[in-house]
Amino acid sequence: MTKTILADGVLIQRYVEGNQIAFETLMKRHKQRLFSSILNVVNDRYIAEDIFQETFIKVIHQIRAGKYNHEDKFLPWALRIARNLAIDSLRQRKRLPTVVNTEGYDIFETLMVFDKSQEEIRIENDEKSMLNKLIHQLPMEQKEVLILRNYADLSFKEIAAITDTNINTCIGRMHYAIMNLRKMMEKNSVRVK
Amino acid sequence: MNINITESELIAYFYNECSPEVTDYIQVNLDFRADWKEYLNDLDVLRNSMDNFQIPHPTTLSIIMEEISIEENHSI
Repeated sequence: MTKTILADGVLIQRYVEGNQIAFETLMKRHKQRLFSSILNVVNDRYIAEDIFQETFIKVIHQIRAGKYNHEDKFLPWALRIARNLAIDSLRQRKRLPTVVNTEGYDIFETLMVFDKSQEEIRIENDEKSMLNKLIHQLPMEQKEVLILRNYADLSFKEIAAITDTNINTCIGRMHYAIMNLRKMMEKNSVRVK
Repeated sequence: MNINITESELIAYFYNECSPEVTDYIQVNLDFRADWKEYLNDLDVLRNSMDNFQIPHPTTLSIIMEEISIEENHSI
């Protein structure tokens, strides 16, 4: 017997009709992309948990108020709510991002999972972690595009809608993020094999 | 046909959001363009470094579901 995957819109409709399991399914379906996106914006696990929770409470309120009309575009809609909450949180903490420096990485590494020594794996993880630290040092609008494109898997069109910009601006921000990361790595003489 | 490919188009190509014409053009010419390869390589590295997906604590999910139940009961 095959298992039917219900579309987000169907789950929301069922929740509106009183089926809480439908909402739980929806939340579990998107928890990873949503939470990872929030976490990478605020860079604090506890705050991310709070924002995730607040996001879903708002989601529930809006659905119950009949304000959800995005059919199966649930994730971009929920991300928009999460983004606003994350920005509020960052403002409250006055943790404005700044551009700084360093680090490196590698490519095609995922194809060579075998034959890696523990040391190689450790170095690779360190490099990944260094690059992630650099990403957090990017200006917020650049970091945001990276997160929404790579974690949430949103298209540039969807990102543009969430951030109230346009596709060209989003792609431009992605380009500047690449350029900034290159500079940071070069400045710190970081080279990854 | 000679098309001037910008970094924006390379980004769109990398994420499969490019027009079919530009996609074909990039694919045909990629082997001759080290600069494109390097740029696409950077995008790949960046995406690979961002694969540390995380999930919220189960308690957070429970709290949300509890909240739903409370609201449901209030509305009855």
